[in-house]
Amino acid sequence: MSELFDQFVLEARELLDAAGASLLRLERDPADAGAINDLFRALHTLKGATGLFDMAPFTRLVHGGEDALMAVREGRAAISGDLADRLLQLLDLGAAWVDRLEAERALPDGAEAMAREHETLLRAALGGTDAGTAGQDAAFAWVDDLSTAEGERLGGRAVTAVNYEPNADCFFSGDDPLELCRRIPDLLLLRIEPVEPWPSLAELDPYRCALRFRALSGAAKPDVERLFRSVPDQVRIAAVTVKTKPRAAEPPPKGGVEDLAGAMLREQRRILALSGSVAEVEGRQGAVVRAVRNILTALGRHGDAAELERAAGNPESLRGFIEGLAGGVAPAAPISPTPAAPSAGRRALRVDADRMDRLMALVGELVVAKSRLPYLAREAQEGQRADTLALGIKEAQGQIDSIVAELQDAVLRLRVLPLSRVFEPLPRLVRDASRRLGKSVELEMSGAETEADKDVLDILGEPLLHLVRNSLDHGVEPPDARRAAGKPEGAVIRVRAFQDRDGVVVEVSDDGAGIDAEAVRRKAVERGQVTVEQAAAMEDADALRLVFLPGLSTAEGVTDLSGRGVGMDAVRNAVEQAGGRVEIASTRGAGTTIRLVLPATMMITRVMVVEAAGALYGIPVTLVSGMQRVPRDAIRRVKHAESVVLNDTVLPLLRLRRLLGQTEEERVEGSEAVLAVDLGGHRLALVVDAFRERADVVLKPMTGVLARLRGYAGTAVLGDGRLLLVLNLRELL
Amino acid sequence: MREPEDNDRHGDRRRVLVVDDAATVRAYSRKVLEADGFAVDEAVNGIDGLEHALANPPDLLIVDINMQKMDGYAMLRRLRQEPALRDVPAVMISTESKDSDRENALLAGANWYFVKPVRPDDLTAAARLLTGRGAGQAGGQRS
Repeated sequence: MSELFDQFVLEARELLDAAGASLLRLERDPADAGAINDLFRALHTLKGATGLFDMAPFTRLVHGGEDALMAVREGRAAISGDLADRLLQLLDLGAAWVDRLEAERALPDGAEAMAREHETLLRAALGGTDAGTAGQDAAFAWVDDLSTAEGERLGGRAVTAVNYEPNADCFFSGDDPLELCRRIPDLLLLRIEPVEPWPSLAELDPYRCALRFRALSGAAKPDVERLFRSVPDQVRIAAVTVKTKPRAAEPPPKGGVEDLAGAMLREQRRILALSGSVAEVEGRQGAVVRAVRNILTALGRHGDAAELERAAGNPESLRGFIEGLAGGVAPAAPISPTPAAPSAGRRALRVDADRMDRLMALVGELVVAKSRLPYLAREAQEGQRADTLALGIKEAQGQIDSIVAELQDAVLRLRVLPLSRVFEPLPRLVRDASRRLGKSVELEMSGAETEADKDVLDILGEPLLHLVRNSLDHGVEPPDARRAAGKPEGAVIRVRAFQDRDGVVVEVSDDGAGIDAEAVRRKAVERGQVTVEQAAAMEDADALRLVFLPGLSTAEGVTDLSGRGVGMDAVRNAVEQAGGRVEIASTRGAGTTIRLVLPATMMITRVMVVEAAGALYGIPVTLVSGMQRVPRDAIRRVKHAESVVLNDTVLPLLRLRRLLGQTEEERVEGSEAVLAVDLGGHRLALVVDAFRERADVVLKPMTGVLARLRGYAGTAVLGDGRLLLVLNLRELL
Repeated sequence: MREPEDNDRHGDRRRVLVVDDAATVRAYSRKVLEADGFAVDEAVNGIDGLEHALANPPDLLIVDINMQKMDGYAMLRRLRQEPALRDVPAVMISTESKDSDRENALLAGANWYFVKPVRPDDLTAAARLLTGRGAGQAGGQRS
C-alpha cells in the first residue's frame, strides 16, 4: 500500500497547510464562519485519512483539535490567541509527524503521550478543565505509554514517577543530572530523551544540557523527593500506577460474511421502520428492496429472492419478510484499522496533468522520429547516393531537433511551480513574531501565483524568510515609537512577486524605520570594510548596499529572531549564486524595500554570443534590447565619456574590451558592433568586436578561485565544444 | 477455481461510486475494491457524486458524510428522489461512531453504515453483498 501511503503524506501536508491558513484567517476575524468550517473540515478529513493507517496517536491528535474547533463552532468557546497558539502547535506537531512518517514510516516514540498532552493543553486553553491538574496528568502520560515489555514488567504497580528536565546551563551550577538519576532509590526504569530534536553537530553546544530524564522508582514519593531537593524547580514527582498493559493485540476475529449479511438485513428492517415524508419513505424502501435482493442473491438464496419480489408490493409484508430472513444472526464484526506497509518514499512533486500529457505526447513523437534513423542507416549501407542520404539525414535531424527543443521546454515547465509555496510560511511567521515582539504588523502578499523553477523556489525560500524576519525585527518599530513618529501603530510588510524581463522579482518592503545610511557607513568603517574616504564618497544608495557585507548590521540589539545580521550576507550569497541579484532602497523614517531578482529558471540560459579580444562572451538575451552596426562618426565623445543615439535615445556607450581590461584595437572598419543593453531601467550601449549567434546554454557557476572574479555569471560550453564566459554586466559596470 | 457467478453473467464488472473529499480515502477504497474485481468511480463531494451517478449509474454508492459543497446526507436525500437512482444501495462511511450518526445516515437513505477506517475485508464483503455478487468467496480477496 505504498502508493496509498505516499498519497496520504501528500494529502496530509496539504490539509495541514490549509488548516494553518484557515486558522490565521480565523484569528484575524474570529467571526469568520467560513474559516472555522474550512479549518474543521481540513482536520476532519485528515482524521479520516490517518484512520486508514496504524497511527492511532495521530488520529488522537487531530481529533483533539477537531473537538476544540467543535466547541468554537458551537459557541462554547472563543478563539483566543492562546487557543490559536495551541492549535498551531498541534498543526506543527502534525507536520513534523508527517515528515517523520514519510522518512521512517512510523510515528516517533511517545507519540501517544504527545497527542495526549496536546489534548489536555487544548482543553485547558478552551477553559474546559482545570489547567493545573490536567497539566499534571499530561506530564506523566508517558507512564501509560511504556513499551510492551516494560508494561508487562511493571503493570499494575504503584510507583513514583519522576520528570526531571535539567536547566540547559545546569552543568555550570555543578549538577550532574545522570548521576542524580542513577541514585534514585529502587530505580525501575530510566529514560533519557532529548528535549528537542538534536541539532546538527555544528550547532550542538556540548556545554548545554539538552536532555530530559524520566524515571520510575519503587521507592515512596518522599524518598525520591529528598534526592531531588537541590533542583525542585526542574523536577516533578508524582505517585502513579502503571496501567496493566493488554497483551499485544491479536487480529480481531473476522466477521464471517454471513454475520455481516445478517446485520445488514436487520438494518434494512430498521430502515423500513424509519419515519419521514411519503417520498422519503418510498425512496428508502426502493433501496431496501434492491439491497435485500442483492444480499440474498450474493448469498445464493435465490428462492428467498423470488419470495422477496412477492412481498415487495406491500410495506407490511416486506417488513415481515425481512424480519423472517434476519432473525437470529450474530452481529457484525468489529472494525479495526489497517496497518500500512512500509516502503521507500521520496518527496513528491505535484505536476499539472496537462503538462505531463504534453510531455508524453512529445516522447511519442520522438519515438516516431527516431524510427527513421535505422532506415537511413540501411540506405547508407546499400550505397545510397550521398546527397540523397544527406537530405534524409537533415530532414530527420530537423524533426528530432524541434521535438527535443519542445521536450526541453516541456520538462522545464514540469519544474515550474507557483511562488505560493515559498509564501506559505510567511503569514505564520509574521503572526508569531509580531506577537512575540509586541508589534502590530499586517502582512500583505501579492503575486503568489507567479511561477518559477523549482530550484529557484528552493533557493528563494530561506532568504525570503530572512528578509521578512529582518523587517519584523529591525524594520518595524514598536507601537509607541510609531505613534511618536506620527505613523499608524499597525505596520505593514508587503511581499510582492512578479515576473519581469530579468526573471522573477520578489520584493519585501516595510513601512518601518528605514536604514540609517550614515550608521551603515560608520559601522563599515569601524569594521575596516571601507576607508573613511571611501565611505564619505559613497552615495547613500551605495552605502546601503554595505549591509550585504558579511557581519554588518546596524541593529544594536541582537535578538533571537534575526540574529546578528549575518543573514543579509547569506541572502545576497544565495541569490547571487542562483544568478540573481539583490537591490535595496530605504528612506529614513519611511521604510525599506529589498528586491530579489532571480532567473525564472536556472537550467537553461539563452545568451547572445559576442566576441571581444579573441574570446567569446555570453550576455543573457533578456538584457539585450537591440543590436546594430553604428558608424564610428556617430559616436560622440565628451571628455572620456562616449555616447550614441540608438532608436532616438541617447545612450552612454561602453566598450567591452575596456570593461574586461583588454586593450583597444585599432581597426580599419568604419563601424562598430553595438548592443543595446537594458539593465532594469538602466540602459546603455555596449561595443563588442563582433556579434555571433544566439545560444541556449547550461550555465555553470564559477568555481574555485574563479568564483571570486566579479563580472561573470558563469561558464558554459557551446554546442561545438567552445567555452563561453557568460557576463554579469551589472557587476562588470 | 472461481465458480461462475450469477451476476457475472453479463461480463461487466459491478460499478461502485466512492464519494469522499479525502483523496487518501478514495485511493484506499479504489485499491481495495478494484483488487476485488469492482469498477470504481470517484467523486469529491455530494454534487460531484450526483453528477457522476446520473451520468453513469453505479451499482453501489460509498459516501462520506462531511464534505464541502454538498454533504453525504444531502446527497443521499437527493439521490433517493431521483427516479433513475433511488434504489441504488448506499453505504455511508464516517469517522463518527455515535448511534445518532448511524441513525441520521439511515434516515438520509443509506442502507449500511461503516465507521472509518473500514477494514478491506469488510468493505469488499459489504460491496459484494449489496451488489449481489459472489457468495462463493465473498469476504475473501483475490491476490
